[in-house]
Amino acid sequence: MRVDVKWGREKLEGVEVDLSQPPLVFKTQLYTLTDVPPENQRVMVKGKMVKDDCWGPVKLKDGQTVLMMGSVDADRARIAPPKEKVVFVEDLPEDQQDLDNMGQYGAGLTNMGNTCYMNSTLQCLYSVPELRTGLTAFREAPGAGGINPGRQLALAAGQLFGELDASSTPVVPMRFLMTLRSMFPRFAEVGEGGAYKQQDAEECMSQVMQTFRGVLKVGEGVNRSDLIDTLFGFRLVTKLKCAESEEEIVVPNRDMEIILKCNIPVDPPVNHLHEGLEQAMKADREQMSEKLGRNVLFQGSFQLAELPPYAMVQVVRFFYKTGANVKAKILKKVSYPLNLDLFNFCTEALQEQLKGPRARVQEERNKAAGGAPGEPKKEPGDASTSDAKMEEAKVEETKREAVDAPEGGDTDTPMAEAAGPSAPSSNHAVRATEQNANGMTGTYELQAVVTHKGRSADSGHYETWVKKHDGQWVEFDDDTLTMRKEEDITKLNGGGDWHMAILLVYKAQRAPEN
Amino acid sequence: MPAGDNGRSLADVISIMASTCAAPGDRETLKYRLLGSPGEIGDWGHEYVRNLAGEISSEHHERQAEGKPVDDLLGLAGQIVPYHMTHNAEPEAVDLLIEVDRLELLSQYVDAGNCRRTCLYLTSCSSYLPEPDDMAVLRTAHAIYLKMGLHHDALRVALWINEKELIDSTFAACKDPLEKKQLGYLLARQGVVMDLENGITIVSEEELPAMQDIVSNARLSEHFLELARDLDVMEPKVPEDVYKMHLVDGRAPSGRAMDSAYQNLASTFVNAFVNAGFGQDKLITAPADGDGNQVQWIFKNKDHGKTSAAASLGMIMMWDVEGGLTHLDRYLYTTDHHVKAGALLAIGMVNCGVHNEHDPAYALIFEDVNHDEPTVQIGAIMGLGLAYAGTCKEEIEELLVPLVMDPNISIELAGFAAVSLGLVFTSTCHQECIEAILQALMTRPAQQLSTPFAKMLCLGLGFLFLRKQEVVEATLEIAKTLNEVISKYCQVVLDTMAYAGTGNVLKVQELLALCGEHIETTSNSGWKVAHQGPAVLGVALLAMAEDLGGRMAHRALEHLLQYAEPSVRSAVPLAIAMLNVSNPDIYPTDILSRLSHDSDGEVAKCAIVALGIIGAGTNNARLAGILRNLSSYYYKDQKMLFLVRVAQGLVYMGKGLISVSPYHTDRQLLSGVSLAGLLCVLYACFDIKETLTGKHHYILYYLVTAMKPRYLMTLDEAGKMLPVPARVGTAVDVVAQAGRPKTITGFQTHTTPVLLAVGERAELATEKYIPLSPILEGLVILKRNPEYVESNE
Repeated sequence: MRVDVKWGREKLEGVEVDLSQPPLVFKTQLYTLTDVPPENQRVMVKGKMVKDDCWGPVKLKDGQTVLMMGSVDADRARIAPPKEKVVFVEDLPEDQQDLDNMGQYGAGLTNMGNTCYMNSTLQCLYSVPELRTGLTAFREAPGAGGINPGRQLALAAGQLFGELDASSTPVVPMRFLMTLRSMFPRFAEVGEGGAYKQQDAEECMSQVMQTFRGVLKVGEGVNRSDLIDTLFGFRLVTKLKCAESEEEIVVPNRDMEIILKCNIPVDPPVNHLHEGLEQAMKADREQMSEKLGRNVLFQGSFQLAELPPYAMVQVVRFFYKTGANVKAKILKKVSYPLNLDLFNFCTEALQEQLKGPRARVQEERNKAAGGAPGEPKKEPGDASTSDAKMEEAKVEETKREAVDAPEGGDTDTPMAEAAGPSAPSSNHAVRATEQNANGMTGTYELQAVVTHKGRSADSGHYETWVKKHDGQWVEFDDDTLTMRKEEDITKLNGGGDWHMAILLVYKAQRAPEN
Repeated sequence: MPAGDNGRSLADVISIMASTCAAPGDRETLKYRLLGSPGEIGDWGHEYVRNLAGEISSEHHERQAEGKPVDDLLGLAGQIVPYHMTHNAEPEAVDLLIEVDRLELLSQYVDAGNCRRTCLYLTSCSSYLPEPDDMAVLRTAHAIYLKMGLHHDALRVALWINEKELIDSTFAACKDPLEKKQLGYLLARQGVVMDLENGITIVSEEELPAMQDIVSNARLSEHFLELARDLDVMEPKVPEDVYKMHLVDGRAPSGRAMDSAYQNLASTFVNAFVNAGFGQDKLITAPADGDGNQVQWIFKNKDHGKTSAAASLGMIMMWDVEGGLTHLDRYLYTTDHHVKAGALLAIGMVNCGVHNEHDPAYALIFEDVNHDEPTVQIGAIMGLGLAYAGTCKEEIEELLVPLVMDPNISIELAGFAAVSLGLVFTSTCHQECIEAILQALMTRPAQQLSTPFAKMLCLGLGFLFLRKQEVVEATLEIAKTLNEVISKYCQVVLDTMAYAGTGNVLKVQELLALCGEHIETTSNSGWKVAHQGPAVLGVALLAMAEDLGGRMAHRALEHLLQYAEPSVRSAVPLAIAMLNVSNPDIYPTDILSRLSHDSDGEVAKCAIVALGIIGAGTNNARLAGILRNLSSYYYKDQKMLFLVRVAQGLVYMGKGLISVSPYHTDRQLLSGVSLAGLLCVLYACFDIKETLTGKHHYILYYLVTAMKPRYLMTLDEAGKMLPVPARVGTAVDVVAQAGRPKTITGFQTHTTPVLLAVGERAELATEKYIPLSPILEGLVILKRNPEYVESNE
């Protein structure tokens, strides 16, 4: 008897079958035809499997088609589990799981009962890398006795930042909180029902900064200077001008300012950060006029004589409402730029110094604009028009430059000496200043925002929004991290009941090196 | 006044006057017509006849209620009907005959010119008629089609009536071999198995191989790949092509260092759905390198995930029995139970809807049905159910009935076995199966009966009665005697299945009443509300029959969302999915999109699955965008994200070439097997925690019974692809319209093969060929038009 055998897509026609012999004979015959060993063969006839020893219920007819399955070298093709066991995220202990891949952006801080003000302050400080390393490297000086509460706070912060570095799950800032409360009893204030009260994040920030200011140092020996001042300190001068006598007096301020203020008075109305800063920089006062020989009113204003690598700006939204006995909030919309230019607030000397790097950045910009692909540069036909266009583009570029800040980038532009001879009136921390001034352009890029949602400083909720190393904005809501877009950040400018910025941290943008 | 010519003439005049002057309800037109002259009825004009017909029907109702004779009325009707039929008013003729219960008279007045219009009206009005009448109307239509020799139309009606003998005789009545092939394609699409070697449906020896090929769907894979090549979509897609992470805001893809079992499982499903039927992909069939250094994709899945991963091969190799089995062979030797279970399931999927003469699925699977390992058993049981869905293969009954009845095996196995039986014997009311499942439901302890798997027993039972209407009554009575934890559930399932797709308004009202109940539950009496889910889904299941009912159901569901209990609310997305399978209209998409953010997790999960179902195989860009946003919204919740991914995979199913709609052939036919597969998945969503996001995610593969290419492919007489120009446009409702109205609007002209979406119709754009099927969908044989003259214009 002859049958046809179907094997995959192949068809073997007219294979001899002897029903009197066990099927193994038939299978061996198939082996010679297909190279599939009999033990790997599965031969089927109408829903029945052909066994090796007997035909059983299988009925074969002459010319029938039989189905065969099997592969030539089944051993190698067989499915074997991998040598190394695959480890799944789900198998790991919970604190090592990084399911949403947010671990790279840091970790959250657990809210321990109305402590979001502290958490947001900490996250904001944590966003400054230099401060982060400064704190984690901070150790109690041997023999210092360990009773200095300022040092205790710095130590607690250092330890906490170390934990944040290592973890991808929320960290409990217990030690820091305890130290903070013992240092500043006002943060340990208890409300009705025995729960700790909500506090003002701004207050917390300035207290913590002031504490660190005396404690953290950077550099060795003569170069040793205060870390906070180096990172955040603005050196100011007060410029006084007498309207009557046209006298001008420039007085350097004694202390460095580590937080600039943006005031929001009712009159004149302030709609933008710049205007608020201007208001805060006003310093009119009565002073003895030497020319007139009496006390007259001098129109005064602070000016920036020295710029730090990080500019912290406080939007003064809270004011004490005597009647209601609360720190009420001004909900007014005050927009702030993603790129802040402080050039206009600087002293003339500093402006002179900034001009070099600014020009360099601008040139870089123009070059980038001019060399943009697709620009019909060398087209002889319409060379004039295209040139004109380019001029236009440049002008516009320059205009934009005034508000916008340049982006850093690689360059090989030959340029004048970057750090001109600095002329600060003070003589300590000169080196740090020089270092700071290197390539400083006076423009800053927004890096972190502390926001508040609610109607008064001692209620509502505080959060921090940080721009991470890869340009990704992340919202830190206590222990929850959420990715955000740039548009979300600009929406934090107030004018509603959504989160609004109360503290902004800007990072200096420097001109490229020569 | 004595009866005389004058009297009769006066009566005639009064009759016509009464048609305008008489007070409504007097029926004076009729009264005086009966007194008047018996002459030609149309003499007084069309409006008069219509008026008369209306009065006849109300008079008829009244007299019947009082038991008075109606002969004179019937005489008049006998005059009116021919008049209507010859004056383009077929719907009115049909209405009148239905009112006076004399539908059998209709067929004598039908001719080639008005036959289609008449029957179209008959079939369309059947969904608005109460129970025995609807079938009577369909039978009339069937008789007319048969009388006129329109076999394709007759077979469609027979399939809708869903009676095996009628289908067989209709098929046998067709003598033309070519036309018979076309009928074969229709049967294959509906999933009806026809014995071509015995009985009245026997075909001649020389036609047998070709017919067998057609009816058994043997060349489905071939046709599908031809379509894919023609549309140039053969290149395999990877899950990343579906997720399109680069379009998701703020979430740049960053290399994941670790394998997440959930995410890999999601990728497994997405890969399976997207490359379904193409026979190649880049994940699971990718050859491992020689040394085995690279971990095979299967082993990047955990435990039960491996089952789904191995089974995904079946979906990728779908319909290609020869190629698929060769590939699956090596997976059968494995010692890993999960992989083996998956391989058995894959064999089932490869053979789903395709019937190979060698029965390889049965030969390969049946031994493992009684394997020691329950995991493998489930794979084998599901595999058999899928491979022989709708075939009524008796061997399956012998194999699975003992499993259902055995009280010592786990309820889980019994549940899967019942569903498999339900699939194999869909809408056959198979007695042994019914008894077995009922026995299981009666003997199992209450604690087992409140698990999701007991619900699968009910589901399997329901499938046996799918669209069988009143036949279910006896079993329904038995269901009332079951343990209270399952009784109500079982009744609702049986009732809704039996009336699925009938549009029965009374049943819908009953179900809505169930949905409106506010039942108090405690933590261990959750079963009290279990029946509400199927009731909500049942509303959709019944109302999906036609457009109007569908829209009403949508409104009713909207109310349920607002006022009903959580157990009802979570079923609403599923009901919406049922009403819009593979049809992502804006309205349902918006509701589901809203629900997918619901604060109730159950509702949100069901809504996400529902989004996948309504978009299945459409490549709908809007829906894809919604799902992408959901994927970033739920990026932290592994289970939610898994479901979102699955839904994304569904939307891109078969790269947009496949539909899961159980309705086909111009929405005239409902494939029971497809519906059953779809319902398996939707029912699983009632217990989504235990099923889809638990260990039984492979329930998703039940969809394979519903997956069919959504194409129009034209073939020549030898069965080769024949590209011709065709117009594809939105279908227009032409029921009860006079003349030959346009059936599509806003069309575009393409060359076949073309894709058809839900609600689209095609027509040939050339006179050169005559299609053998009046409905251009699926595979259509064209024959040359003998009267065609080539013009040079």
